[in-house]
Amino acid sequence: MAVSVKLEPNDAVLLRYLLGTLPVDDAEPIEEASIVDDDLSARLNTIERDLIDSYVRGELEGPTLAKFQSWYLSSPLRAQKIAAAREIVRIADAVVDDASTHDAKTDTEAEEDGKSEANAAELRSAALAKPVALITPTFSYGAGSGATQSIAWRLGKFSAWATLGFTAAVLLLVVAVGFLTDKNKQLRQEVAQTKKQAGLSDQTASAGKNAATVGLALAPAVDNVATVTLFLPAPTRGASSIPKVDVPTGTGLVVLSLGLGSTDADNYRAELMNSSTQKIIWKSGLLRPGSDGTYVSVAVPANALRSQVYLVELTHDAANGKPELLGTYPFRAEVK
Amino acid sequence: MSGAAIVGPNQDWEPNKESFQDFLNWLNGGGNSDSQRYLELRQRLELYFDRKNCVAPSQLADQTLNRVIRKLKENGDINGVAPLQYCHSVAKDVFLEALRADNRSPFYPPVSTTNPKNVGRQPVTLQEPNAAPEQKKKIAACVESLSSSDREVLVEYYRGPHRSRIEHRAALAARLGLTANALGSRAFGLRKRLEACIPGGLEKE
Repeated sequence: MAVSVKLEPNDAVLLRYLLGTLPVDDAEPIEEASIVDDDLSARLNTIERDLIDSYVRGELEGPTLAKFQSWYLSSPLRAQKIAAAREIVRIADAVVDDASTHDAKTDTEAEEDGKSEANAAELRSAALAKPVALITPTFSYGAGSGATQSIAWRLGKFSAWATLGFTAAVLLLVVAVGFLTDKNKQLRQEVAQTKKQAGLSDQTASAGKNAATVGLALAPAVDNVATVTLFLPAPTRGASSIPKVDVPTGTGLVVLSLGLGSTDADNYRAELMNSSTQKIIWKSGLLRPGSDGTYVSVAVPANALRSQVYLVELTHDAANGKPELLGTYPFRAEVK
Repeated sequence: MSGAAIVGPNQDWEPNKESFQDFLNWLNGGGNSDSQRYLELRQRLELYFDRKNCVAPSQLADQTLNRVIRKLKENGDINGVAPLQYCHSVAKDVFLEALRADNRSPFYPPVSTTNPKNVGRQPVTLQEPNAAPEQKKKIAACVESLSSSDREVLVEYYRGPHRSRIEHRAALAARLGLTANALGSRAFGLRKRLEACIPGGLEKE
């Protein structure tokens, strides 16, 4: 059976393919991969919907807009997606608009919004679609209820809940700060110890060799390599923002401590990915969990990082020998 | 869709239940023979032909599948090539045959100012309509029929301008413990369900 090389074109190339501007010779491998490669097929679908949404939002301009109108819309099957996209974008963006404009909106305006039955149904859909984190107190939607009013007006009815929620959030914050402080202390100790061990085993290792292809988690770490550390909690539905790590000039290693949640494997591997291209830019070697088994530390060469969002995929080898994904940890690097 | 230019050998051959089941088994590597993989493949083939601006992508996809099923029936098996790879090679043949029969106009030309409605074929305008009121209601009903977690995925994945999507999608993937690809597939599946609520949106124009 012929073994084909996995095609990994970047998003710009796939966009050109969708807009019909890619030369035939370049388009052919993508056409083939669009059938045989699950990942690329999914990427094409995502990029196509993003392209349509950008058109609907008026974000396309210049040659891209011209090509979209002349080529993309020349097929009825494709053009049919526009009407649906308008509705989906409207529903999705309604959540954002609602959150940003509700303060200025009067009840009268809200009532006017609700005059049309169709509008009421759509607004209700948008409100129902609101992320749970933004509507902590749950409430029901009876006929003619909140559908015609802004989220803010409805939330006003639950001010007591809001106060309770705030208090709970403060308490959680205090606990989290305590936990992170403790974890940081633990991390510093681990890093110092690892540096010491690495220094003993390979005094000549240079930080410069700590390139993207090196497959050891902390192998080149010597005492004079500056490090920064960041604790990334285990992925949960509760996490809402991307942790940030500042990487000052001269930093040799960025040590990421990945919370393990309920996982208790003996060893792990981590891959660092560019969040936008999904390209793997660095892989670790085998990683052992930290002293209390609740996290695993991975030292990423600082020179592999730029100022952007990254994803760390943590895997372990399952019983069948194949790597099993345990979680994805996003973080933002700020290189200074 | 009308005006299909279906050409080539065996175009009238249709699989029976047994040959179709054999095909499902082959497609699934002899294992689970559910039709999910088949539906995915058919959709990919349809997109393959549509992205080449073929007039009848759906029929060309079916023709491709019929040929593969017939070949499988005749040979008992298709060895030496992965199922999807083989389907692609047959799709290429089907496309080239359609290309050779271009006197039957199987392709949409690009829309231009001199040809704003793609004259002679399906009516496509440069100013696409919004969904009709009843279609909007259907979409709203579809959204309401989703589970709260599915609604969250749908809204979070597709909300906001292009420049902000990468970050909130990464955050969403982290919250759900999914890879970016897995999240994209889930969001796309949900979106397809909503798109199915307004079939033929432009045909009423």
